[in-house]
Amino acid sequence: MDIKTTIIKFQSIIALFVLCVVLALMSDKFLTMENGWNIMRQISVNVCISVGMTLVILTRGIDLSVGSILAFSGAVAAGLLKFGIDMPSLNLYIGFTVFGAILGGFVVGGGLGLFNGWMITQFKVPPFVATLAMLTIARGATMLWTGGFPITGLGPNFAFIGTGWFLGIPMPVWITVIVVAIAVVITKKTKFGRYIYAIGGNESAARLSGLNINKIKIWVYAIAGILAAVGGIILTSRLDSAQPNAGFSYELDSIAAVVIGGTSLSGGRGSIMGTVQGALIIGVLNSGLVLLNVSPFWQQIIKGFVILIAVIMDRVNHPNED
Amino acid sequence: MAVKNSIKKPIKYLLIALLVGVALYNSVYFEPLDERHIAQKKGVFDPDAFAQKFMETKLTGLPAMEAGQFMEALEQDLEQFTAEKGRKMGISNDYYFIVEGNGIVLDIGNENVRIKLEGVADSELLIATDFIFGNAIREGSGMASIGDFQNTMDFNSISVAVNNRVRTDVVPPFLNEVEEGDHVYFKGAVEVNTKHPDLPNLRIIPLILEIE
Repeated sequence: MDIKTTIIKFQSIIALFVLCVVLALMSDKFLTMENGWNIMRQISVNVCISVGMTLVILTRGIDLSVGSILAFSGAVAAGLLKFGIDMPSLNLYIGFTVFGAILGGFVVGGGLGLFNGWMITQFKVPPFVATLAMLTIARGATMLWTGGFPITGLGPNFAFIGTGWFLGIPMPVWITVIVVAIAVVITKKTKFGRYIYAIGGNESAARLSGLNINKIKIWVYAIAGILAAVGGIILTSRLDSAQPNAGFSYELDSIAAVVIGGTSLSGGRGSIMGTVQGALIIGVLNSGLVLLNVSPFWQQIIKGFVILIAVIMDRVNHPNED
Repeated sequence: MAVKNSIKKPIKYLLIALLVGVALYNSVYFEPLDERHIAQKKGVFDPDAFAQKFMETKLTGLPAMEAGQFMEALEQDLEQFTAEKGRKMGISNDYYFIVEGNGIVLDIGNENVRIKLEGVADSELLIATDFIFGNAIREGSGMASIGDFQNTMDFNSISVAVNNRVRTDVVPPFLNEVEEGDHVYFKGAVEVNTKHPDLPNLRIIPLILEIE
């Protein structure tokens, strides 16, 4: 492997390292354990939804609805936990345990993701449009479910998910590590993972090879929905509040993490670990810019340029892709 | 082979059904709706009545830290003291306390009365007489927990109601009589931000003010 290939292969890690060194030199508060855990906790939600986004983009798709699904799943989990379900006609109240509420959030996230996949595969709606529609549907559903007000006071057991520590490591970090580990195994070691790459690389060839493209795509969007729900539950637990406007524009941070991590928007090329590095770069950049007292307006501009540079480098390194 | 597969399938479905059953069993519980409503005593929440009851019945017995010891503890190890003794909401850096003590009035300003704590050298506090806002009393006293309320509006309205009581019932009688050099007893709520503590200008939202 020559130097150029090595640099291309490890460009995200190199960028992350350089960023850390520069920020450590500029701010004495950057290279501290407290800030390290802060960054890890802050990126955990983005990593969860970005893992799902990576799978979607690997199939040459896109999912703009993850932020809204995150909000709705978190709100449903919070609502079930706090209020349960009243059934006046049966004089019955159905209460939910923390486990049940979380399961409810997953079912909602997975269901909405499934619906995305169904629209895309059965009705040939372009992923951009189908998930854009879901973005507004899920946001509206969140407003309806919450009545426009936050759902708060979810109890210490639920709060432990987002704010607790286990073996000296924050719970959101544990959850993120488990999600990433499962996703890495799926993409690297299973047939399903290879099919995802095959569909993104050349969908026609994959179809002619006998793959059930529609089924795999529906599963991928459902997984993206479930992972958005995981992010939603972490966020809701961390804030001890399901906010109707939670996850607003999270899809953009997620796409940014995937792109910076080296996954091709043309599909078929990329990795989960690359996405984790992309999310870390965004997290470190956010933290560093805050510590350096950079104006939030400038932060947006800088992040935009970082995404542009990542895509340009990707195009330069892979000039023959669509 | 076919027989093996035909046995495998029912086992697979049985396992899935078992898993779903266990998951559901641990997910939900059932109660008669009318009994639950009675237990919850659902009704329209009245924050003014809540605040009035608090001011009339809970105030004198409300546990409070001695102001001098409180100031000393903050100066010694602010982070540890606030984490151990303070109340806070969510992930903010604001901690709330109820403190009481005696002091001598140094200055009567438009927004605060500055007092020197008795028995403590170089320790001063501000007693708020204007701009009485925020959640210091609610959080410091622990008079209400957010988990007991159906929505945040009800919870937030407690602070509004109790702050109104302070503005109308506590501050005016005090301001009418107080003069520089007076000895006063106070009990109130204070907010300490661990990132920006500003100890020389800690501001107490008063609950009890007595001129001795």
